[in-house]
Amino acid sequence: MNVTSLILPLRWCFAAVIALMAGLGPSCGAHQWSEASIQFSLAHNQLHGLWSVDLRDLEDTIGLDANGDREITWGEVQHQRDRILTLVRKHLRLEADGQGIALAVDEILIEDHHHWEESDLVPDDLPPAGANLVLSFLVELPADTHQLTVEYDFLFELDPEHRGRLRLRMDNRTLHAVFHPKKTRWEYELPRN
Amino acid sequence: MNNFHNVTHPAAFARRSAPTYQVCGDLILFVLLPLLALLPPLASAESRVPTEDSEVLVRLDASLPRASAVELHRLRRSPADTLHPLETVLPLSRDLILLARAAADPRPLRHAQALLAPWLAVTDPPLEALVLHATIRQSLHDFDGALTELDLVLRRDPKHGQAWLTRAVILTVRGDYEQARAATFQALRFADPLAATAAIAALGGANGSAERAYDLLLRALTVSGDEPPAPGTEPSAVRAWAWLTLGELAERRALPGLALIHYETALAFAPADLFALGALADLLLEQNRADEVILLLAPQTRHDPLLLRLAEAHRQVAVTSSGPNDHEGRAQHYTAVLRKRFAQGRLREGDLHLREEARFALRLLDRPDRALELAQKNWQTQREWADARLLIEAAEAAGEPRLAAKVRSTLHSSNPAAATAAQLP
Repeated sequence: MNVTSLILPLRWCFAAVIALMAGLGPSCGAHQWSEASIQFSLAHNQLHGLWSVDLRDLEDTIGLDANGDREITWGEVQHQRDRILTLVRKHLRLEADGQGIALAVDEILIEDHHHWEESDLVPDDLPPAGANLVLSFLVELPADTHQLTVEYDFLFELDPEHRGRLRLRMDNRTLHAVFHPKKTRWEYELPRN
Repeated sequence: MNNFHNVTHPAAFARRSAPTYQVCGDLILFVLLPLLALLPPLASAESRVPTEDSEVLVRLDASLPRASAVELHRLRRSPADTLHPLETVLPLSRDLILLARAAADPRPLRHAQALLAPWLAVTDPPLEALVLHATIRQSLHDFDGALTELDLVLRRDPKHGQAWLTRAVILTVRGDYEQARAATFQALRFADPLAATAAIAALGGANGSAERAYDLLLRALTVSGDEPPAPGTEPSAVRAWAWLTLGELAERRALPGLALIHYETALAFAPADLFALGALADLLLEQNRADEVILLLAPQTRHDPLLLRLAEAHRQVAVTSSGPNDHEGRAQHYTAVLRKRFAQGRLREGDLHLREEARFALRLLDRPDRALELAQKNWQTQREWADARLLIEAAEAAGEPRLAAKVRSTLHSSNPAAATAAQLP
């Protein structure tokens, strides 16, 4: 083989991959082993809740990156507000004594992940390691509710490794539970007023 | 034990001075502290409402689609020689191959190779498994092995467009231009016309006829339709690849203005394409337009090859601008980050990033001897124009003008038209 034959860009080594894409091949999405947190705090008959979910998980389920530039902006998140609200109502359900209660989302917030590696070397403008979308909602329970049921099954169909970590604060106690594909429902007896 | 509450993450613990090992201390160190990292964050602690719509919240790294990642995780639990169903193995291998390109990282290729291996051991392996495996071998520079597998496919199905296309690319890389031409003609008949034309143009560019190749590919791109394909789809990726190829042909023809426009068009089709971003940044750096490189690459600090160019751009501005600015500080900061990442990369992957590392040693560490050593090693496997120019630059900086002259004359004698057009130093 003469030298000429070797004078070709490294990129050609991936050219066959493009050949592959010309005929087949799905596009790449994002993935990270994921966890969401669901927090409730009950005071009198008011249940304040937060659902905190990785934006990458939302990208995998409803698609947030509208322009395909592999960046999710705040504008793109707001644009999908309705679909996000539909999603949370579908996958996070509450019942008071067996009766479904509607979640009224009052705020959409963002919570940044932090870089833990290379902490002394991270440049100021290094993008955040990621971010969670936080939905805040308020639920009014009927006055004499005895039993609260929380059901959660977001992402399980796509990713059985996903976990939803539930924390419920009431009556000076904090209760913890985990949602997974085989356990999507937790029930709690509420304190008598 | 009193420090327990102050420790927020195992990484913080790693920097502690040597502890006195006691049973209780070990329990905290190895059991309780790692568990802390698994606790969910307090959602309300630092939640905020962004003020600008344009604020970037997350940059999505190239990674497997979720379903594929879960599937791969599942398959890895079974013995390596398990014959998993083809309808699972083929899409997963495809995703891994595409990921390798998107991240410019060969590691996923090896995973795909392992997945396909049991199917290649059966009598009359499935054609699609053979083509995918050949693609992987080609990407890992095993050209002979790839061609053997493609020949097997084409003997059984002479109309397999993708096999012809891959064969054309490999023969071009090997410099077997006659056979490559024959393969591209077959690819034109049976494969995606734009991809086939790009392969023909690549052949022309390598063969010293960049001008004709440029015209041919430009025409193909013009007739390929005004309707832009949706971002992230295969037609969009092929279009981006064709425009990038056109840009390189323009550079070979010493038409940097056109090359710039073509690279920008490629990025319009694939905004996150690392190769297109790198090509555009290099061209801008050559034209002393470091300010634009900083704008282009500031969001790309996660990718080492692009961070390298960003650091070079800050260095370039620091050298050329007068008055106080923080560009030199930036350059030094990124240099420190890169030094650490190259060291880690060498531990993990050996010599896979020689070109970047040589460039880093030459332009940011000011260590021409080290750069020359790396550039020579790189030259054993990669002989792109960029590699030749880097080797010449390093040789001259290290006081080895005879070596530089030797590389230059090799290139000129083997391909004078292209060497002249590329304005080899």
